[in-house]
Amino acid sequence: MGLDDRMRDAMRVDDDGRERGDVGAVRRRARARVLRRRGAFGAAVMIAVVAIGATALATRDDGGSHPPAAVAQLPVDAQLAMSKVPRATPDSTDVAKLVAANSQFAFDLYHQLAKANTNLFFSPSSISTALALAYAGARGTTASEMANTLHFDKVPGNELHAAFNALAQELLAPRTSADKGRKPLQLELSNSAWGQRGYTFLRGYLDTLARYYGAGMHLSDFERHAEAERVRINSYVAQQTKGRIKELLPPGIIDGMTRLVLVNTITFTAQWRVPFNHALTELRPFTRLDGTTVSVPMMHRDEARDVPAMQGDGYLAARLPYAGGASMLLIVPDAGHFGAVSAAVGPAMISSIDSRLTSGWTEVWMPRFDLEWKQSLNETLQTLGTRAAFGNADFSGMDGTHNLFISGVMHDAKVHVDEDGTKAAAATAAVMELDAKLSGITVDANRPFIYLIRDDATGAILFAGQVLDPPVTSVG
Amino acid sequence: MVDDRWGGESFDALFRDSYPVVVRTVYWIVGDREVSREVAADAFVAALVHWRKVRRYDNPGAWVRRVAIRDAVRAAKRTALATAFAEPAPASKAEASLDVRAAVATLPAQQRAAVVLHYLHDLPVSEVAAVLGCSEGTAKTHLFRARAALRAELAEEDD
Repeated sequence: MGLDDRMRDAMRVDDDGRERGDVGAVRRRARARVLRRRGAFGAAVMIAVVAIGATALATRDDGGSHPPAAVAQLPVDAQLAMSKVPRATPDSTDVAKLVAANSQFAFDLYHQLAKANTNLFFSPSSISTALALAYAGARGTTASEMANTLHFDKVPGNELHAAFNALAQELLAPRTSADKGRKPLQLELSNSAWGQRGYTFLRGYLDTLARYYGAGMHLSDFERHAEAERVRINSYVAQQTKGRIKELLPPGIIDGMTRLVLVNTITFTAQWRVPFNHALTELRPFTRLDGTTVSVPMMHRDEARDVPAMQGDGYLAARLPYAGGASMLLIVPDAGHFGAVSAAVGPAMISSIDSRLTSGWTEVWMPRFDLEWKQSLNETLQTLGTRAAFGNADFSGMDGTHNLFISGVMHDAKVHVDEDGTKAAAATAAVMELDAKLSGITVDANRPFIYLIRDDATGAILFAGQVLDPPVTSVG
Repeated sequence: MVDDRWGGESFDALFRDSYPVVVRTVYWIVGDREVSREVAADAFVAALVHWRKVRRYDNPGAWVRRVAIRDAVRAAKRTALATAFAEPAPASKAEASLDVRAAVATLPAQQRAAVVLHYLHDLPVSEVAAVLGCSEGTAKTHLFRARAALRAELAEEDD
């Protein structure tokens, strides 16, 4: 049987019994919707009356809308439509509030993603920023749900985007290294928007992208060349991340209905303040959660004065500093305690660790590892309460209509940790086991561990993850 | 006049005749029976909200189908492909569609929509394009790629 016949036969098999449906329920819902709409229309008219003279959007009963005064129709003959508004100088005093909000989201996300019981590496910083670009255009329930999930409601409303700008500028400030021969870390961030040519966006939205995120609008033609645009965005991301993230957008995610793609990248290249000695790296067993072991190259430092450590309730923790003002925080749960410690990771635990870390003669064993973690965050974000954004969305702050919704959020993060330092794009990892030795602590990440890479000055969590089963690689 | 704001008998007739096939159409896009019923019901709610306008169309059923397909594509994009068509097919007549369901599950949402319009509703490319809101060229590409993928999937199973 040919393909066409086979498809027709299969699709026309009436294998669903008789779907009768409930016409009464449909009638009740339609009636409720019409009544609700009348109420909403009354309110819109009142607002329009008050706002006469200002830019107002009046919604007609048929769902169509009058074009607002301040719109920007993306030209069809240019490559980049940048709002003329310059990037704002960082003047927000709410950076600490934003870092606290983003950190809370980072831990919420970690708890959701860790449920999969796999190795994990992601960049909370990148995810928060990309979603902030969308949030700038969200209104109504869509906005309030996003603010709740992302904890943006902890930052004064009109300060949020200014705080993102100030945090980015602080992270990007020139860094120095006090350690001879060790280069200060390089951190690069980028924001960009990719919009359909000829589609109408509100001027105010483009101004926000430019003023606070330095993002211009790359003109794209998803309608006619969806696949080519996907490849173009992926190439741009690869270029921004030094080739580390090669295919952020998988095939099929962009199609003729796509109107806007918002992208954030973060690229981190850092040397340890004191490198691990290659000669001390040796194959040692790593015990997985199920008790089985795998032999992995373990890097080793002994009597490390620069690595403060502590013994917590059921875990050991150590902070490994990079040259240039960032560090990796390793949390190694005791055997049999991974689940409990993993569940407790949060602001209280981190702040307790920070306050109790003490410098000593720390001994560190940590696997050398490479990890790439790539996943759609759609379901995770919906679980965390951002629902309307993925369906019945209101992004009217972008284009003055209710037509846009989020069809997918992809995250791809890659990390390489070795004796010299860490290279990451959108994510990081750490290993732990602590034992008393001399007057110091031995943090031996020879069992599953959790790790955070943080900027030391602001405390911003740039990357987070866990290693449950390190990839087997050879020594040397 | 019976045909009032809430549809009356003409809406009842449309619902009776079209609802089963709209559910089946949506099912081939979202791959979930319960979601198919919800999406189909939503499309009929929308028809009733706009009934004064929709009832004057030559084919109100086609309008409902278009709304349902648009929402189905949205729903399919939100759901992981792996979960589509996950529930077991009913035992009767299931064999014929089992492999095809697995093959369709590998397609992106827009291609699934194009395939269901083509094979279940026998629509020509121009009408597939009109329903999907894309150019004929794009609709042709969706169908071409979908058929190539289906052929590969189903041929492998035959081997």
